[in-house]
Amino acid sequence: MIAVEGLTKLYGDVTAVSDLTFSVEPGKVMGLVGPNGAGKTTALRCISGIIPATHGRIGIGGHDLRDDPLEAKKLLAFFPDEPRLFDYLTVRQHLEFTGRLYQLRDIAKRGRDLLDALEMSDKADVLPAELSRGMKQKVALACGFLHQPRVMFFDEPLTGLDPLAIRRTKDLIVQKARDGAAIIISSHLLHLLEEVCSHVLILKRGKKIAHGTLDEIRAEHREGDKDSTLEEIFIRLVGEDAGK
Amino acid sequence: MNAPVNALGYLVTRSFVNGVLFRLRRLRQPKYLLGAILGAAYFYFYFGRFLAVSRMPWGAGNGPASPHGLEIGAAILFVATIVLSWILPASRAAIGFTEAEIAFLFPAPITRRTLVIMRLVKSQFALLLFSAFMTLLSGRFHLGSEAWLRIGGWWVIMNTLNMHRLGASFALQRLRERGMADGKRRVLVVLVLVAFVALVEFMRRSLPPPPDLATALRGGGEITNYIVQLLHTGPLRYVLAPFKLVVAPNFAHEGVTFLRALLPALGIMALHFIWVVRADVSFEDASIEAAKKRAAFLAARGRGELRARGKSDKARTPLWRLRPTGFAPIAFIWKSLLKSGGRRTLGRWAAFFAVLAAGAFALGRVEYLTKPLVVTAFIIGGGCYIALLISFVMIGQLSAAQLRQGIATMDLLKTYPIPGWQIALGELAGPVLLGSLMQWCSLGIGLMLLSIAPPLHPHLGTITAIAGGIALLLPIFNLSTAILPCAGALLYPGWFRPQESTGPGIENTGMKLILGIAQLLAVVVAMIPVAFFGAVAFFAVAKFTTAAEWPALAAGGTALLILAMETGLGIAWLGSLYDKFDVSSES
Repeated sequence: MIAVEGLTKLYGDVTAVSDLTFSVEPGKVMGLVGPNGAGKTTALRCISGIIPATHGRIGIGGHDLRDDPLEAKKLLAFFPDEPRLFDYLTVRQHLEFTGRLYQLRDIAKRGRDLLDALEMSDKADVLPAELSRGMKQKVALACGFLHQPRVMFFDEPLTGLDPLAIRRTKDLIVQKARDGAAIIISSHLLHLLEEVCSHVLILKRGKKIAHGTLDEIRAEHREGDKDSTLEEIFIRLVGEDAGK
Repeated sequence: MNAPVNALGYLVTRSFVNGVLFRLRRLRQPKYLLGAILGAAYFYFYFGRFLAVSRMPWGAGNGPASPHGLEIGAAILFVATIVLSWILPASRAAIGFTEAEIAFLFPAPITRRTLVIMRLVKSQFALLLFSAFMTLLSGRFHLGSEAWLRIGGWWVIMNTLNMHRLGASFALQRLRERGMADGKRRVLVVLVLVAFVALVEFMRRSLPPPPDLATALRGGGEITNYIVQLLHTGPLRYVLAPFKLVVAPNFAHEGVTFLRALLPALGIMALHFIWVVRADVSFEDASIEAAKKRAAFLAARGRGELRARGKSDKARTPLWRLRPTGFAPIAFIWKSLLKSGGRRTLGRWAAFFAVLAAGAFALGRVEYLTKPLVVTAFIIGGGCYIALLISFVMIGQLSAAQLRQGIATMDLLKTYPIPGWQIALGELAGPVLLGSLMQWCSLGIGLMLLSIAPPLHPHLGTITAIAGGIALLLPIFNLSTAILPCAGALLYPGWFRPQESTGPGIENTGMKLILGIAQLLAVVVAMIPVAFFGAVAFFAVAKFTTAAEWPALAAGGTALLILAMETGLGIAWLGSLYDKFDVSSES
């Protein structure tokens, strides 16, 4: 569903992401981890078509993002770390606007169902200024889910959420994967990734330093400790870059 | 392409309607209602006069001026703006999207070309508003239907400029991607400019000599006619032709001539449109960066800061090493000086004033000064005093802004074991100290420069005494004027920064006016006791002596004492407001 081959992103002489290759199948959740500045957000933005990659090929549902961007983008949704909403659109109008962008026919019904599922029906006619951080996050989720994407990218999806919202978002991600979506999550919350992800890719200074299922990574990097957690493996691999 | 543009239409119209409704609903709060009334009155009385009066020389009522000259003048301005769009840009091509637009539009199934079109479509409202504003300023609204022609003319000019700037930034991005350095590109543009100037000079030689300076200064249009003739000679006519075509609709006086001028102008606009939408340049990275910077700037402005902190900010060297113990306000002054640029920036300012002072001192030593030197000294000296006058208002406002920024971090400040009055004094003292130092420099340099003038020589003693008295009063006066806006911010935080959540608006302008008037009144009231006791001291001492110096000294000393007492009480009051301030309040 997501096929990335040789993804490289350069900013002048600076290499943000270097020769990244991986794939994510339907129903799988891949965790993208790395210290600050490792290139996680840049990689996610390239794979979701927000910014162009300098080199490499990105396939979304069989469509090449460079040659056939519209078909590829119809299948995906990107959820940024901070929900960025329009100051003067109500929740319902955000959904209407998104539906028009994706040329959906039954926007009102889809919107209603999503707001019900996210327990936001009573906030449908409210402006973002009146919403809490968690509720804004829910609006962003509803807008992203509106066109029923089969590929989803979450950039730090749990930042600033309360424990209940964290639990619900986590459940939602798992549910979407069970429904057949291919998902990539970038997060610093390694215990969450251990719970949710089927496999993990660790980035350091734009380069892939580990990739595979948690068991595979444990087996490869355990250094004598067969019960290592992802956090322990991460610190061992990233070393001096951790905590920057 | 229809779906995204349709969605954009929905976004713009719904946002506009919701924004208007939000502002109307907010008028139920008296502060916004008052602000709206005063803001509307301000705009009506300030701009209303433009509705009834023709201000431009070519407006009806003043008779037709030289249309060729005006067109060429406007065309040259247009050329200059376009040349700058090829010289100035030093960053990658970016399109002005907001962070929300980026979040929704960039991952959506929309082509790069459609994104450019959406941005151009979205800019139309602002461009139309600007065109109407320019028509209003040029005093054309009283001309009825001609006003619409003028709005149309401005709209064509602004759209073409907007698209040219965008197209130029795309072209420059391409050149950068192909390895051309910015410096090389600027040299090329300057070479083209030099070639143009050389062409003008070459053409000038084929014409009769220009009118002499005396004729030109007398007016009568000789110099304008000469320039028009020059720019219509040989190839210059063709070089300027496209620029003239774009500005021509703005000079048409009736419908038919307007339409005739509009068609070629629209043609050039259409060519720009094709150029921009076919560019296919990567603008996404730079647009995200630009949106982030803009959001940071708006957030900083909301906090009352002049600019956003960025990655480019470097560590600054403090003026002195802060001791771990001591009087708390000193630490705040230390922080404030560091924030103002630290040793490096403050050193530059000190060097600037030192050079000015040395120059002024050297001028005072010259035995015979030429007239231009005296005039220059007078202009710089006068400038010093104008800066001094402006600073009377500015320093208080800047100090207040500093303390209001402190409100944003009050959660942290309130955890310190420091009484509120010390925090208030410390926050205000930094800007007051810096401002007072600059005022002293301006006062001294201005005095040195103005004293060069022979008519002032007999009064130099008195002038120096007055300047000395003002210099003594300045720090305490600055501190006192800073207290009131700070107290206002602590008592009525909702009146400050109303634009934080809603952007600029008529009611916000009105609220700022109310605050300004209230502050001015408060300063006047605070100065009444100062003036009263100063006057009492003057007359009391004058009874015992005929010399003017002693009563003046007594008046000045008393005024200083009263002002210091008022300021001390003010700081204590501000401190108690600071201690009692509820960080969660918004009244």
